[in-house]
Amino acid sequence: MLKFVSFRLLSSLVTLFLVITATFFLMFLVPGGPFLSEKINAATLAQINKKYGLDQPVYVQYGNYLKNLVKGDLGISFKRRGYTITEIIAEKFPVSAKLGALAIICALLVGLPAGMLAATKRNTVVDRIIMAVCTLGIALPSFIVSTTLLYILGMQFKVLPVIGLETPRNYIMPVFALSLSPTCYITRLLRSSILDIQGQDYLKTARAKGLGEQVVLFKHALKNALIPVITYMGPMVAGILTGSLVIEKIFSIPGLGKYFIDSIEGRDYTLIMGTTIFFAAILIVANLIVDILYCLVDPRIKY
Amino acid sequence: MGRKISEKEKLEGELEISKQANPFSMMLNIHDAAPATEEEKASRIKMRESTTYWQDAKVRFMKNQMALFSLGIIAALAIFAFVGPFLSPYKYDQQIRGSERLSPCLAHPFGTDNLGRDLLVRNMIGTRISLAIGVFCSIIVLVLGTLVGASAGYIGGWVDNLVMRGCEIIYSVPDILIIIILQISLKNFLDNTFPNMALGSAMFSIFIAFAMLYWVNMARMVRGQVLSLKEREYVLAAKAQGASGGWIVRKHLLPNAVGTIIVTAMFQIPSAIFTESFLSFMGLGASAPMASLGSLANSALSGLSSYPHWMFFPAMLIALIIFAFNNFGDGLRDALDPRLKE
Repeated sequence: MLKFVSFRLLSSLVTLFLVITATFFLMFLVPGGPFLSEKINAATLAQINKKYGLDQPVYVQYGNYLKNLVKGDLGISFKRRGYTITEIIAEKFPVSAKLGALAIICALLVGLPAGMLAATKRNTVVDRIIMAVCTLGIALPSFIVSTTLLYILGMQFKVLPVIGLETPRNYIMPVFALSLSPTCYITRLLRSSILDIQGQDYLKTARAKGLGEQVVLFKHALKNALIPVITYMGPMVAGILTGSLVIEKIFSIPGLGKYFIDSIEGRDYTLIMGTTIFFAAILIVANLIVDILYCLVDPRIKY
Repeated sequence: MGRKISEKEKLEGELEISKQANPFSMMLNIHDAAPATEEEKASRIKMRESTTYWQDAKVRFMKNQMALFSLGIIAALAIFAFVGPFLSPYKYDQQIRGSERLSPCLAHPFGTDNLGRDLLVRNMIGTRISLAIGVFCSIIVLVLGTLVGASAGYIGGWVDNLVMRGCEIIYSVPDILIIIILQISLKNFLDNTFPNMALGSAMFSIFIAFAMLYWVNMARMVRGQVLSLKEREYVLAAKAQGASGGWIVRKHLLPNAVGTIIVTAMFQIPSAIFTESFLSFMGLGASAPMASLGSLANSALSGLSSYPHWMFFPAMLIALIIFAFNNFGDGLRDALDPRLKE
């Protein structure tokens, strides 16, 4: 177990390092500098470049970037003057994190019972309806779901506020749009994994002992059926993170996702890099946690 | 002396006797075990016409109504996207003065946008781009993934190790973010190196970004198949007869893995279309005056309350495309690889 965790930790660090390196050099492919668009003369430009260390060779800049990164310094924003990237992330991320956490909680609270219901009522109308909704929910991109909601509930019937996150009611549409596809995915996953283990010996034993259907389902079946759902948690965090990019744009939520998009549109390269590395780190940590959890939940898995 | 009784007559004689014998006798009738005549043999053989793997798959596929229906939708969308623009009196970048922001009407069934461009033909072009991206990306993934996966699985050893470690790293990388970064830098790079590119640098950088990230799944799948197939007896037999490595891969391993390969490539199409529309919606895909469904939806967002039909048509088309390809892929999987059926 310890060996496995340390191995996974090491490979996560390698992955993160590669992401940082790739991002850095890709950004360098972009010709021109961040200040090229501004109307300043060549001497001033050279001075600014010197100030930010942009006049040095690539590998020196890369070395400096890594050195600063280890200290937790992601550089300063080129467009939002006077702010470091770390400050911007610290300011904007909590908004996104709250939304994302709510979406994950919703996906689990709805997805798990729906999956169990579909599995226990297999091949009935209930099951078919749940499965049909899920097929649709997975096929629909989140920006379509949210614009449809925005138009119908926000603009036609005006029952929900359309922008910002001031009141709890503001959260309803973004959280729904963000959690729809993970919810559907969890439902399908849990349903098929419960059906998969239906014929297992330990379930027959449990029933043969005279345990009630409820106890068999919750205590014996669900515990084992949850394993595929746990493995999905890593990709789910990734999905919610990327989903939040468009959701925050659509609902004008001042989170990190919206800032990331703005930074792309404004070509604020340090901010793009900083947020990419930050998002990548979150995902890699999420995957690491899922792998360790996976190992803990299922003692049959040996590394 | 009497003539010699032939073997046959002897048998016939015994047959007569046994016929006259007590029907309730427990004695075995030897003639029941007589060799069958040619006609008898022929009447017994009920040969089904031998079917190939593809015929089998076709029969299974034709029975799947949902998959057939999806195939129909895909065909209709392809006609809409590739034939439609030729039938339209307008061009996708033609700005018609005086007919800006029209609601759907007879002349413009999907309405016009704020520059007076016909939205029907723009949606057709957008669908064309989506379909093209899906198909091209899946072809790139198919070729790259199959080559890498098959060689890793077949050669084994350090090559396999290297490829699999590489796959693991690419797999754990956040794909959308890397695609965005790749897209921005490649687009700028391509714009400077090859100005006036036919397809548009944005589209081209999406192709490259997809190719670099999405071959991993395919490579893993093919490698797994090759690993299990190369231990089969027929491969051993081919080896014993002196077949070369390339021959075995081409003649024995790939044909047996082809179902899995096609299904994986098929599922790549909707996911590529999904990602492209997502990127375009964020303003990273096709650049004006080119239209993709995602960028049409993006430009509709600002006028959503007054012009909901700007959003409705591209959104419907994206949903329809992804839904149809997902279902078609499901049907294809059930047809080509029945073992994988849920």
